[in-house]
Amino acid sequence: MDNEGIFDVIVIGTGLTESITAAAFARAGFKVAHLDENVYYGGDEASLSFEEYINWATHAKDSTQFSSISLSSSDALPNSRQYSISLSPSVIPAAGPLISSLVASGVSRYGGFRLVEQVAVYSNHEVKTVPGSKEDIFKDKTISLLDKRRLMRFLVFASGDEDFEARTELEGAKADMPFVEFLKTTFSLDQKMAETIAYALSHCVSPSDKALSALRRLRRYLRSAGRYGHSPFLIGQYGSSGEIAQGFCRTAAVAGCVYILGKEISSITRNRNFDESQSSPTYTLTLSDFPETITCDLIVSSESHFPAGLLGNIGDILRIPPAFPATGEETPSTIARGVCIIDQPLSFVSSQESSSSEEGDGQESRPTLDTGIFVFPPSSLSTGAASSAVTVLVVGEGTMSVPKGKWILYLSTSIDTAVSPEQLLKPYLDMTLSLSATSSSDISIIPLFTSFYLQTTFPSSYTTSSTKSSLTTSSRPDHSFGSSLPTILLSPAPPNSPLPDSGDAAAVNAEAIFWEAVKALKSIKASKKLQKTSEGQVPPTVVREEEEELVEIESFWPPVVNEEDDEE
Amino acid sequence: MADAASGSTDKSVQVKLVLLGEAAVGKSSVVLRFVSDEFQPNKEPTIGAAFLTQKCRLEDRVLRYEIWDTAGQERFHSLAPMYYRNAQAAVVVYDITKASSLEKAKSWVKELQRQANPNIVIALAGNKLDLVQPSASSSGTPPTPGEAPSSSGGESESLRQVPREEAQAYATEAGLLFFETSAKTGEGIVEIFTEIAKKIPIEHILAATRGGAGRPGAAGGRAGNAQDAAVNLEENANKPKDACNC
Repeated sequence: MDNEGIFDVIVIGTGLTESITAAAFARAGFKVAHLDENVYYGGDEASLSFEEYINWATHAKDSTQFSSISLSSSDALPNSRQYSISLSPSVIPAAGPLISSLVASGVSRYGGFRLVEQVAVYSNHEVKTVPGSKEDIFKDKTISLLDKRRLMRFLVFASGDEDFEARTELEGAKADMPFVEFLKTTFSLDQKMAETIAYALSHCVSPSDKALSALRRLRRYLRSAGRYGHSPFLIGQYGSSGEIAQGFCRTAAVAGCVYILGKEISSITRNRNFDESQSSPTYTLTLSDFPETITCDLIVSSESHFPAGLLGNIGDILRIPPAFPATGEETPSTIARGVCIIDQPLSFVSSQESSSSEEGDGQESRPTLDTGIFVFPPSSLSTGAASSAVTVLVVGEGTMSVPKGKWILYLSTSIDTAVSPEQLLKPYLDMTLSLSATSSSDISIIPLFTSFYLQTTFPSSYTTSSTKSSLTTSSRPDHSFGSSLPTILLSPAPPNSPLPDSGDAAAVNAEAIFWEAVKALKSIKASKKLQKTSEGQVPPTVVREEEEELVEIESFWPPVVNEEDDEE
Repeated sequence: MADAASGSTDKSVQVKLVLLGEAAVGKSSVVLRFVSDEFQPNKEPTIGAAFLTQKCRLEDRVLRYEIWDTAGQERFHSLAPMYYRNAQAAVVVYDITKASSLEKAKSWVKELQRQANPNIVIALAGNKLDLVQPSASSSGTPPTPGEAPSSSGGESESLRQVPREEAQAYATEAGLLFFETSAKTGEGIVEIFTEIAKKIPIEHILAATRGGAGRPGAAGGRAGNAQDAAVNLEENANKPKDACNC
């Protein structure tokens, strides 16, 4: 084991994107080290215990991505460890790239998942559950027959197989039309129905969201419904993203990846004789408070965790352009977030709905909610000032992320003016708590804990032109390496995308990084081989078997090795 | 293993067991001895598996161990909380020829008591017993990728650095099961797992998982009433999308 500190790839940051990437590298047979300066996994998408969250809130105050953090109290709640508070609350479409990667990599075995039970929307001072299926629509007594027909016509259009671009419905400039307008003009849906579709089915963020991108998103969600149950969305246990990242890290570790957490990178040195003799590793890293140095040919890092101060003296950086969301789909740069813990159940079923469905049952209490999404369309709440939709994700005991009898509410909205996140979100929180109070007295639920903050997408210095030139470089034939060969790949920062999209974005972007890295590594190895051949000798440095043979990598995930179930 | 919930077909109870201990004390060897030797003599262990499974028969009931190895993540103290989650049993391994490894084991026990399910059954295993017995050479298998090389290699009783009595006293005090083992010869290995099986509150696990929670760990006592919404991703992975509701 004399080549212990020598790696093919060093991955920096344990966010979901980087964790998926690290697992894919390790499974493809590369020697990988995965670093994170935090002592916890998940980076900016971590799932934290209550105590860890308080700690994070206290320390994140001086970061560029997180600001205006407020805490109602920093006193620990009982059972602090039983909370998994997600820094990146999200749900997962049942038939998307993240689920595919979870299944293909076998990581799905590590975690539990559950369906999001319900989506509800706030409309005209009341809660309205959003129909999840054709059946629900037919049964819904609040929708007129005419509207039902219009709605069905739209859903058939939206879930069809044909490209939206080829449809007459999108002719003219309609693809760029705001989605709500599009629904009203093209499908004659009324404002209320159009808003429900846009914000509660398609999870649009703002009134300016364009028709084509909203339709594409909606199609993905509609196709997810029915795969694991009636709901299109799943949520991972123990805080979803952060736990899923841990699952990918474990898979990486099982395949030989070395994990070093809680150590800062103190230097990255590009090997001096890199250009003359490529037989030595490209980079040497030293970590603070860590005796060994580690080397690698390629660095993959999340942009936000790459030690920025070290960025100047090392070249050949390739910023991987985000492959998801698709180009042209804009995501808000800043979102206001709120975290609220309560100890009474919510119910998103309006009183008429529950009484009509429980005929004769008398004073039956309204069904309580474990996991659900509650949406305020833009400008739907007179006391609220948000110009975009406000989303409330509720998670209960069924997600294993809270102790028994507790719920976490995650609020979020995109924000374009300078206003405190607490000021902006508080009216929506108050309304949520008062509307869905289940007690007979209908007294608003008092939160045990609230916290608000702003999250800004990491300011990427990525520009289209520089990316294009780097991409051209790396797609050259393998042997014609140049000094501009990318040896540092920066992964795109997680977008502030709609609730169901951040996980899929991570999976898609991870795959893009993976292939770019494989290209780069092949090129590096090929040039090393070339070097050796031309020198006519084997360099005195450690020779590893992998250097001799470049194994062809055919898929993002190799087939899962299935342990045979021992028969009875 | 997809049917992690309750193993309804054969009445076996799924138990998540985690291995802990300093690098190179023989964690993997202990589990390989248990999994591949005693029950399936000719089976090559699946390297790189998510976890190994092995059944353990105990009178009228069958436990199905889902054994998690640290996969080297313990080396730089980088074990993820996920590792401990819902574990109903733990085997903490140390090397009887290396005093410092018992100290490390004690810190793992503390960590388990802090992080894991409060009802977890913990066994302490002093491995490499063969090294202090006559005619031994080494206890075995190469270290996990990414682990430090083993410091083993020697042939006499003088190699022992941890007296049996000392470890036994600690185990008793801390409420742990205790064994001295040799992954190489197999001594004491099966005993660990059968003794754990006796101590596991099976009825409790069965009651907690009966609701159909996705993971064995729902046995942690936090199983809710809404478990019917739990999903096994692999189960419906190939289901055609004709079930689409729209």
